[in-house]
Amino acid sequence: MSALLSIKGLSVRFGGVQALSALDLEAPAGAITALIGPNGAGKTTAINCVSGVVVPDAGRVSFDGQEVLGLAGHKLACLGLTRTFQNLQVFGLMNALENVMVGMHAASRGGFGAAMLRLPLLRREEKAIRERAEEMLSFFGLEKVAHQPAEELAYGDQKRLELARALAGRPRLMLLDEPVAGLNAAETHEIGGLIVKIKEQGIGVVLVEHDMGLVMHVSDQVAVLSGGVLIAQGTPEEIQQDPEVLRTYLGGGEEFGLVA
Amino acid sequence: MSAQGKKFFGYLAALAAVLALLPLVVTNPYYLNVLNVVALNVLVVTGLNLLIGYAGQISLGHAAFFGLGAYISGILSGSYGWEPWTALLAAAVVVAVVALVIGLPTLRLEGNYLVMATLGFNLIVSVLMVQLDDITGGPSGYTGIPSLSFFGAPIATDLSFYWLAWGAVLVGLILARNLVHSRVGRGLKALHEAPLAAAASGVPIEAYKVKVFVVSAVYASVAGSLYAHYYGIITPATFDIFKSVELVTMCIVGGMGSLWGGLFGAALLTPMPQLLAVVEEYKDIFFGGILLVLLIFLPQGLVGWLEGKRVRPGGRAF
Repeated sequence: MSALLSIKGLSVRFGGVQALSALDLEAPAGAITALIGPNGAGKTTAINCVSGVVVPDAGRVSFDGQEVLGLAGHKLACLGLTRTFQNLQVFGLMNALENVMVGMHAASRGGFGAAMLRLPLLRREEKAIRERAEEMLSFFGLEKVAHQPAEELAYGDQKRLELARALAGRPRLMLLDEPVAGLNAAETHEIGGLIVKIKEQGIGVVLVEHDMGLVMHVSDQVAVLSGGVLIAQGTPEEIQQDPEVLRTYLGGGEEFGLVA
Repeated sequence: MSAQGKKFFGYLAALAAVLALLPLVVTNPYYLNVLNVVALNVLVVTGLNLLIGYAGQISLGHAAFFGLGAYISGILSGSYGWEPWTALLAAAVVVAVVALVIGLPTLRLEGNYLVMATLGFNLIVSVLMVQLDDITGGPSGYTGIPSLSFFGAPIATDLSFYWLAWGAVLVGLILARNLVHSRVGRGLKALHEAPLAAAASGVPIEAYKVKVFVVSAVYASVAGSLYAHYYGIITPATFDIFKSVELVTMCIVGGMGSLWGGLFGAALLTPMPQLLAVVEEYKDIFFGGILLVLLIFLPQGLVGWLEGKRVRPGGRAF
């Protein structure tokens, strides 16, 4: 598997806290790479660096061979790298359909002039955007709420709406920051299935998640962060047996049904 | 056509019908004049609404763009003999460039720095209009601006200007509506609501803010040029900072983020100082007061209130 996303020597310091120390990580296309670790381990910081929200002190991030650190946020989406947010970032006053249509932004071109004059190019594009958004809504089971303002949707629906928006523009890699946080077991199971389906489309997924059941079930490889340092990396099976991981992070290993 | 589109063009057809019939009832030139001023305000407010209501940025300098449109078009045609329509276009281009120069550095900053920048800009423009008296005629104003013409026929009467000004409003509304219901319009709403998510979806936030600011300034410029060629005389006091506050008030009274709201706001507030002679003296206090009361009790604006739109408690008004 060739790496689609490659992170090398990524370091971030927030005041006196070393949030990330020389993180190396690779995420291939068509696979789910999970990033796990206790709260404050630096998982979200890593994702924020890749997506341009946080500027690292050192390190390189390349996407499909191209250096992406320092690129404006919207350019990443154009390259095919999208993300979801841990704390929901839906466009609350816009309806669900429009939310997903915004996700098609990078995959469409019509500018101010074309929009104001409603040129034929724009009409065609608008139709394609709408069709793709409707397709996304049904893929994520949101057709029924298509015309409701996003802020009025149930929490689980908002979580899925974020996924729909991030997938709409046909990205090559998606960064998912705790997609099942706060969801019940049934919803978690359902989203797990959807993430696997996304992977099966050949899309690379970087999954930051606390839900060990989900991570071990869907991931192709798992990287474990603790205190900003990568302490282990491997398949879910390897991680579950890694003594260092069990000791420093997972406590006794009850999460895996391994009684210490 | 989508349901939204049908609704919009339905309203637009109703508006056009009312506008077509109105001159049969309103024959008094004074009232026609009021309607003409309403039209020009609607045009400015429509552009301003794209900026305030959709992109969430506030400008207190739109009277200056309105004024630049008036002065540039007026002076080019009055002092330099330019054809008035050409002068109007030239003014729009100049104003677009000026807005770009103001917008590029200020809209890059997070937060509403545009308010301060445009406020300062309006003050500077007002001073220049008074001080550059060789060119502008100074405080007493610039006179001798020729009328626009339509295939050789001058648009000199209140009635002929009525058709022109309201025609411009209809075109302005259609263009704005097209923008709002497009990929770009959704991007503008998105960057206002959740900038991080908008950027992650590929919306170029800074560029969009600057562009919509330029578009709104051009709306003001065109309205200003029309104003100059209609009256034939323009004075600096028409384009001062209080006019900017008035325009923002009209936008908010009608309802930010609703194009019809801008129309209602302008139609409601424009004639008030003129119709109620009592408040004319205290016009600025009057507008300030309306703005305050509205933001406290009806932050969604009149049209929003009629549509039952709610503003979240603690939610952002802007």
